[in-house]
Amino acid sequence: MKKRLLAVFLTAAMTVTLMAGCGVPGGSSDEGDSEGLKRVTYSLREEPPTLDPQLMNSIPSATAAIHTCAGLTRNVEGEIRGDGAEDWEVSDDGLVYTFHLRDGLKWSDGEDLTAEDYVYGIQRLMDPATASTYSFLGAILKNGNAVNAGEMEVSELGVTAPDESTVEITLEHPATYFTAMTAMSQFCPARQDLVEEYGQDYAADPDKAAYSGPFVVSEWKHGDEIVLAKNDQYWDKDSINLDEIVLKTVADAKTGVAMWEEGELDITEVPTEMTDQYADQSEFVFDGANDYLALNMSEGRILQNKNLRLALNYAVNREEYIQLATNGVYEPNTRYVLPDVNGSEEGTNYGEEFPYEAFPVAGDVDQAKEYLNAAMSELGYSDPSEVVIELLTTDTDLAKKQAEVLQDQIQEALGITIEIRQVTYKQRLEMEADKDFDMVFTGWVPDYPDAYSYLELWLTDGSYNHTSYSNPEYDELVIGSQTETDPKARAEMLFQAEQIFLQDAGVVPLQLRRIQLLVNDNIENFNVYFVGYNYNLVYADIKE
Amino acid sequence: MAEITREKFKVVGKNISSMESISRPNIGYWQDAWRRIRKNKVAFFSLCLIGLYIILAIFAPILSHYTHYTQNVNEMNQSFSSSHWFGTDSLGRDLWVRAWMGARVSLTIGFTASIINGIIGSLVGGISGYYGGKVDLLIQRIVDVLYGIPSMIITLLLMVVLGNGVHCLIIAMICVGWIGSCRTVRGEVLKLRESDFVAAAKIMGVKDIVIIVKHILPNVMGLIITSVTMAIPNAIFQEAFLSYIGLGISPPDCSWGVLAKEGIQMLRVYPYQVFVPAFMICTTMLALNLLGDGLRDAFDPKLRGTE
Amino acid sequence: MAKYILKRIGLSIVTLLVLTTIVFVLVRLMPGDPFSSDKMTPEIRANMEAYYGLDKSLPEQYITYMNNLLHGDLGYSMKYVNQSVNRIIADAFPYSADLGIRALIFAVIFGVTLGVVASLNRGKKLDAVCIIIAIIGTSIPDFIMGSLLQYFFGIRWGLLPVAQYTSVAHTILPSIAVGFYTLAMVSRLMRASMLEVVTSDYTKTAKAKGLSKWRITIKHQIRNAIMPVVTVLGPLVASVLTGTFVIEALFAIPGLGKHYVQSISNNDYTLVLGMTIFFGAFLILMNLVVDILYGIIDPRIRLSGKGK
Repeated sequence: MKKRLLAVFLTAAMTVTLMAGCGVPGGSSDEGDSEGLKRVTYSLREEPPTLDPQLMNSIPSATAAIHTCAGLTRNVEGEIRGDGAEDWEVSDDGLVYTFHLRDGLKWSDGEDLTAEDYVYGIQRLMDPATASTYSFLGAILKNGNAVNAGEMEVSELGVTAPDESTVEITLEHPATYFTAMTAMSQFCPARQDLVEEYGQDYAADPDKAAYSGPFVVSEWKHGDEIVLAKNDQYWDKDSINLDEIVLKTVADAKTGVAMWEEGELDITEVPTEMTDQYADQSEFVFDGANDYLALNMSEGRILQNKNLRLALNYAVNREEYIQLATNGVYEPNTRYVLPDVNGSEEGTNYGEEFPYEAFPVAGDVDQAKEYLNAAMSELGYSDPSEVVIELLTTDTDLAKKQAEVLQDQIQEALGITIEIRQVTYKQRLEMEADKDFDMVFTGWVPDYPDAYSYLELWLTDGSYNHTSYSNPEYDELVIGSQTETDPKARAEMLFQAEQIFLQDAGVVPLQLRRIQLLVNDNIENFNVYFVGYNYNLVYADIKE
Repeated sequence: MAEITREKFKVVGKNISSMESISRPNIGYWQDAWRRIRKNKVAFFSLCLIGLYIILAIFAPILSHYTHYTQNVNEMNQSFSSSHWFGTDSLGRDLWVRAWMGARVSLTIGFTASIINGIIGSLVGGISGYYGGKVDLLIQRIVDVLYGIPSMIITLLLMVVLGNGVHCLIIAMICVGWIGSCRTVRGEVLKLRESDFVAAAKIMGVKDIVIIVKHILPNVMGLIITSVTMAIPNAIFQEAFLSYIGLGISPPDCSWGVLAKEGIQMLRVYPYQVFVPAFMICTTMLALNLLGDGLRDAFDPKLRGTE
Repeated sequence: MAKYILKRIGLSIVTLLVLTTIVFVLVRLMPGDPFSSDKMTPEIRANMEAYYGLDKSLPEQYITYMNNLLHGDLGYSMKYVNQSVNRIIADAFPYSADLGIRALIFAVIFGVTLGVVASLNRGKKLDAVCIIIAIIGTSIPDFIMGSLLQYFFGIRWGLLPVAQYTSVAHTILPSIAVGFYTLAMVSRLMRASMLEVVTSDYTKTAKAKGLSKWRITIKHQIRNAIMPVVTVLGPLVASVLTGTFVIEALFAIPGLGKHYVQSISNNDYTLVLGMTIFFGAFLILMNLVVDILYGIIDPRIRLSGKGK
């Protein structure tokens, strides 16, 4: 017996030595020299798919990009400052923006950063050969759509550099939010020589790109982490306090929280299951997403019936839904436009300027039943259970839970049948585009902080209008707002359009996404914003 | 010395019936197996446990006054109690009912998928092994290719056609699942093909089909049954994995995999929620594994009649 | 022998080509497409399809792909736009392989030990303990196993790092989580085949020769009993070394595992194909290695070409 135990012990020892014997592929190398460096590490659920400014196609990418790129402007919690541009003028008709660059701008490799680089960046975004997913942003530029569709040469785009330090941009229509767009990475400068040298590998590795922003990419371990280091060539480097920002890919949010407790992460998201445990230590922030059920109003679809759509809207108890599905983290919402977008005056907020509650937050079952009865007599049903509506959603945990709660609530309140169909995200998009659904759980994240970003969706011929919603009155107001130069009148037109849309029950508004963040106490000046990126650590600092 | 005369003998005649009578009761193949399985205490207990789970899966949800889908905002995440025997989940649903509804799905998938897999696998494996040569080569290459196709693609494609349901998951599992039993059966048949009794049958001019059914099949039966019982856990696991990546059955229905996944999210806050499905998956696997071992012995013709 | 290996390799290449062709068609049948997103317009989609050559006919795309494949070029990922598939695999595979090797060492050493100990104590308590460990190993889904290990050793007791893959200490929990299932399988197989071996003639001969018990077990019995284990290990090595989705996600390890699942749900055609080819080639290679190993381990089989 003893001998046998000895044998077991020996093999165990052997295993341990074998395992210890060989190093680890990613082996930690920089642990030692990190002493004294000001470093902030935050977690991402998924690696940014690219760090190429014009190809940016996701919020994680864009979040990295605001640190490595210097746009003409910079967005700090909604306040637009000059970044590459020192100041700018707008023509009286609101169509021509003239940006004056700062003197002595440099790329991270020491080359001069000129107006030509900005022009090239924007041209590259719109060039069909670049195949950028986000080129739709450039539709606002003069000839933007034509260039992107390959009908015009890139040089005909409304972006020019009259001299080395001036960028002139001409728009298709006036847009007060345009300076917020120039802060986005897609409008950032690009290095023509490097793009031509590396082709598709441009920005694939730290040394295959140059950076214009406050930080440079100093290391990219694919799938694992991206290290951003302070850029000594940045014009405003004295305002930058951090030495390094590390973006760590941690797929499992629970793991992220455990790593935060271990001190491996400084900022991480808390999954809703753990909300209560960390409620005291957390910050709650809105990420700008507004989720709703889009309802298919195409010919022959059951939800073409307005009373049925209204019945759904009254049947949902949004308070209870939020409690069950998100543990109370998200905010129940009964309107369509994100209240956080800009109001008609500087510093105001659309939601405060035009308060609106389209449906009772806690629902109204009696009202819902009245609408249902009306709908059933119109549609020729006698028994509510014969009414079957399919709810299309994606395959994530949260999507499933949200759908389950809605299913139960609507079935309980109305006695109709809701069938959940879970598919992959890509399949959902395809089914949406094919108008092959009854209702779909979806949402919208704005690209610029303006109500128009939401309302343009439901124009009769809107690219993203997959529900066949069409109301001439709505179209007239939304299109009219584009040429209205009085900000107050414009905002009122948009608000009126929003009311019409909700009275038509075009969607079932549900929630504003709120994220629960664990942030280390010693981090100062960390801020978040809801358009274009999540986190902003540019001016952050670490307290001693 | 006494003489032995003819008279001393008498003809008793042939009593055919007594000559041919069998002194011990006739035990068929299946009877013998059943007799042996009953004697194997561990295997028999496992069989009973699985039987119990099946009975509970059928009746528990009917007898409870809760349903597996009714949510209750006032009873979220409650631990074990007299009203909720297994507690409630994050939507306030009764986990006792959900556990047995889950059992229905998981056991249905597990049994159906692995039995069909077993049948297809042993047919193809048998043909491949018995005929050998080019037939074998072709079948084995097909098997290699099938094994290399990511099963997730197959599942996704089937879901487009069939929707998310138990039948879709079962078909998806069958598409590649039969490969395992095909390989084992082929290996065994390859060996048996060269055995003396098959050679004898061939010399006597017995038809191929008869040889396969009468001589080879009983010899691989034990192996097939074992691999089927061992495949049930695999099917349940696979369903759990598909639930893990969000491709399981459509809510509010659930399986043990779904429950385990929902539970594991709550591990740090409400550990009991993962305990229930984990315990059920674990005990089922344990029982099936032990039963599989017992069955292997019970169906082995070499051990027939031995105690 | 050389002829046999050449024939096997030839067959493998044909198999791989057929596999590639089938998957090439299947990915394009999948619902959705690589470029769709919430904000996709037909014009942008056309640009992207042109960029990736998806606007050409399927046979043309196939010929282009196969031509590149012959040059060892798997193309660029459609999701990770700047990264080639070769690059993605080259970056992630070392992690998965490292984890897989550790898991296999752990599984084989403990699995064989457990199996041998169990068989030598047949019917005794120690046997029962070994069997129970083995069965538990095959009865817990890996996401539960991994989460429990992480929770207890990492979070609750703080003995080992919770996640990541930066030092040897970091590798222990994920290796156990990945290897436990294999360990259980190996120990069960080992026990069963050891039981056959202990009653064999050569064991009796060895005993009669008066060899020590240890010598018999190690030199004669284990060497023979390990055969079935080696057979099973072939495909197992391939799947363990090429990454596990669940465990890698749980422990934040940048391995290959996630690409199997995510490339498919992202409809990333090139990455799906690249992963399939990589895994398929690895699997075939492992099966070949197993067949050759068979000859080395099994004292009865000698490679026929050896004498020449």
